[in-house]
Amino acid sequence: MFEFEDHHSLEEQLMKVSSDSAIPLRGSHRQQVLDAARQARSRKIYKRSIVAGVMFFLAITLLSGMRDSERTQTAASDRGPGWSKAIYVKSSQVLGISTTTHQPVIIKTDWNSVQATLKQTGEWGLVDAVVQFRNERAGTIEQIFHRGD
Amino acid sequence: MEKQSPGKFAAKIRCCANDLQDHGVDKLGSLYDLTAHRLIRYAVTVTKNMSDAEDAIQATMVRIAVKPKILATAQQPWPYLLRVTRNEALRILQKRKPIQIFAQCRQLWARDSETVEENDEAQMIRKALKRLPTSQSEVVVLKIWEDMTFAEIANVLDESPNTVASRYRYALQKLDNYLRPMTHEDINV
Repeated sequence: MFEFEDHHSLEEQLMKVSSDSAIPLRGSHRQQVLDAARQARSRKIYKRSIVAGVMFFLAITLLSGMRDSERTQTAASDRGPGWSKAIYVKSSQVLGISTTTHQPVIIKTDWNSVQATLKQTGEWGLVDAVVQFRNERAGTIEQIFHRGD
Repeated sequence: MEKQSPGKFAAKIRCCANDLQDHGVDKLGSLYDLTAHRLIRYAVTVTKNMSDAEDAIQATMVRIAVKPKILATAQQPWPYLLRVTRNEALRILQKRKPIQIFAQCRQLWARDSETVEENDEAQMIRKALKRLPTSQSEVVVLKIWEDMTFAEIANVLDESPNTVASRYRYALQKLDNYLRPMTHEDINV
């Protein structure tokens, strides 16, 4: 059995039984480990694909959000002073000019229209002044304008 | 159990890890066949329980299967594997702490009535190792059965080589005390 005078011989004895000290594993353990590893691996792939899907969705949402904000900026700049509605703009880049003809607003310059406009805006003092102005001069507003009265 | 030179063994482990990385989980079997019988010997030393040791081996293999690159690129693949096994074994023990107290009580009770009936030296040594504190028995297993240096063991256990060496010395003293009476009993008989 165990015969040792010092620790060195004890070490030798321990080393001798090293080959006998194998612990037998359960027969099914190997298969169990392989199955667990496969499951873990597929779980990892599944998680990865979910993360990729979420990232893709976020990227798309972010991109469409940015596009929408650019579109509203363009519309705002169209309405702003000094911007023609006919010019399509993306950020600072002019993309093109609309081919549709711009309909100019016709301004009515006959006396009755001018008076009606002034009445609508409540400028009653100006209505009287315009009536007096018309009575003093002959002709339409355009004729007075061209004559330089 | 076939004893291999540490260099060759490390190269084989690295080869298995590379296979695992290139061909997937199907190649885990070869790593298992190469290392499991040695890992279980160490895991049992830590857990002092066969089923927990097997769980630790399974957790180690799963971890390696999920990230084989770390093992393939490890400077010392065998100590790395031992360390992963140790961490997994400790994690399992941590989870089972409340149950463990009961198990330890049962073990203490069993120890008193324990009589070594077998003449098998390996069984006796294993039983003597079980009586050592885990911190000491794992050093003995790594030093003698895994043929590692104190520096390598210190690397696995994350301790200083001096601490490891002193644990080893204490462990041998205790083993000496445990095993010597058995020798005398044999002589008396």
